[in-house]
Amino acid sequence: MKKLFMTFFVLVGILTASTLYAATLFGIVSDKTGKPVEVKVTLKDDKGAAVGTPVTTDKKGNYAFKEIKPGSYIVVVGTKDEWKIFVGPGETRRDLSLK
Amino acid sequence: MCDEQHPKPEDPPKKKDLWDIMQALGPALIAATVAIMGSVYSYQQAQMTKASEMREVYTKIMTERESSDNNIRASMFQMLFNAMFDKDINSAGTPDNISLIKKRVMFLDVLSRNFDTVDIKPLFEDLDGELTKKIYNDQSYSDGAQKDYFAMRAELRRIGRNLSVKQLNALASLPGTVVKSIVLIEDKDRNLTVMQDERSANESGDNSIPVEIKSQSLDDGKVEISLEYQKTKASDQGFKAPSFIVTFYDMPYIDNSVIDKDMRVGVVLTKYATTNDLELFRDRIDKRLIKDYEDLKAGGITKYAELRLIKFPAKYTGHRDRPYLQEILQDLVEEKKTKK
Repeated sequence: MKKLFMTFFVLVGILTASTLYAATLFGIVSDKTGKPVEVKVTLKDDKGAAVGTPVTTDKKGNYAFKEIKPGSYIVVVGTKDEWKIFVGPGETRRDLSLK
Repeated sequence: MCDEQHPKPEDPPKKKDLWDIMQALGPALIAATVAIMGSVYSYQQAQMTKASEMREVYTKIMTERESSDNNIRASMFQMLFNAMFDKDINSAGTPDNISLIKKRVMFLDVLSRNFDTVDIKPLFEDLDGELTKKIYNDQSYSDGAQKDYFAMRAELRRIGRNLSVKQLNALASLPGTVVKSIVLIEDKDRNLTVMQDERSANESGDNSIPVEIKSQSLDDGKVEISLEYQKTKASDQGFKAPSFIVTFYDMPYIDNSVIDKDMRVGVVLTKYATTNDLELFRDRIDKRLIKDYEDLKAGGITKYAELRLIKFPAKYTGHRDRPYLQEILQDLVEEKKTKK
């Protein structure tokens, strides 16, 4: 019985994994001089609702939102800088430069 | 009387001064100095001769290396070009010609990797068009063969895309360049939407590209667009930019437009997807993307394309586009005037 449950959970896991989105949004956040910045990045859908958990860029300014649904999004960097972008199938790179 | 004459005491020996020493040692010192200087001179001469010989050898090696490299590249180019037009490779009439097409794709891959400043776009587009015809129009091929052609075309597009993105990345890393992303979407009612990344405040100055993309049509890896330039008072207000087609084989080093005296703008197609392919070639589409395609389809999107617009200084253009002699001469004249 235990083995049966294990097999069931493994199968469910595999099926779930194979139905994940490949769409990924990633890039680098830099200041106006081009220097990478450590800052909070929030992803919102086109209606303004937060998508997933906000991320903080690393020392090299990298950020990434993985396995998201393709479509229109608003990327909020820090508190005031916003970009309206479209994330297509697969990987989408957007480097964001602060003013 | 003893008149003894006492001998006159001798003068104490005169102490030798520096001059005397110098006088005594002079010839020897001169000889030694001449000898040392001679040795130093000979040593320096020998060193200079050695360095000159080394430079000569180095230059010779470099010249020979460059020359042999050029010879290899020339014979490689000739061999690949001849192979591309070989009648056996182009005998596409037989149903079992997938291996021949594979060879053509491979030749194009080798050609594009080694000669990235040579414009081989027509060769890519010719093969892409031939494959597209076999995939969708020609009924004389089996489903399996059509799927193979679809996979071959995807490989061909991947090669073209990799090359153009490599050039795009190289240009984007240089100072003075600006890159913008543009997404084009066609829905099931054939309405075309152009979406440009929008910032909360409009960018201006050096970070702006004075060009707007107007889309005309999206057609299987071919995006027809026109570039609308921001007009100045001096430019022709009635001018409407004619449209042109962008494919995966447009290379920014080669395919670019002049937007200012020393600025160029290039357009690169980085992504293209047709959700109709999901039904026809599901098993040949990258499995990781199936869910994304399904989602686009569920949202009523039938075609999706992503373009990158890059503005860059003319000095970064490829060799073929370099001799804008008029500009070079003008710059030289201006430079001379400033120095005066």
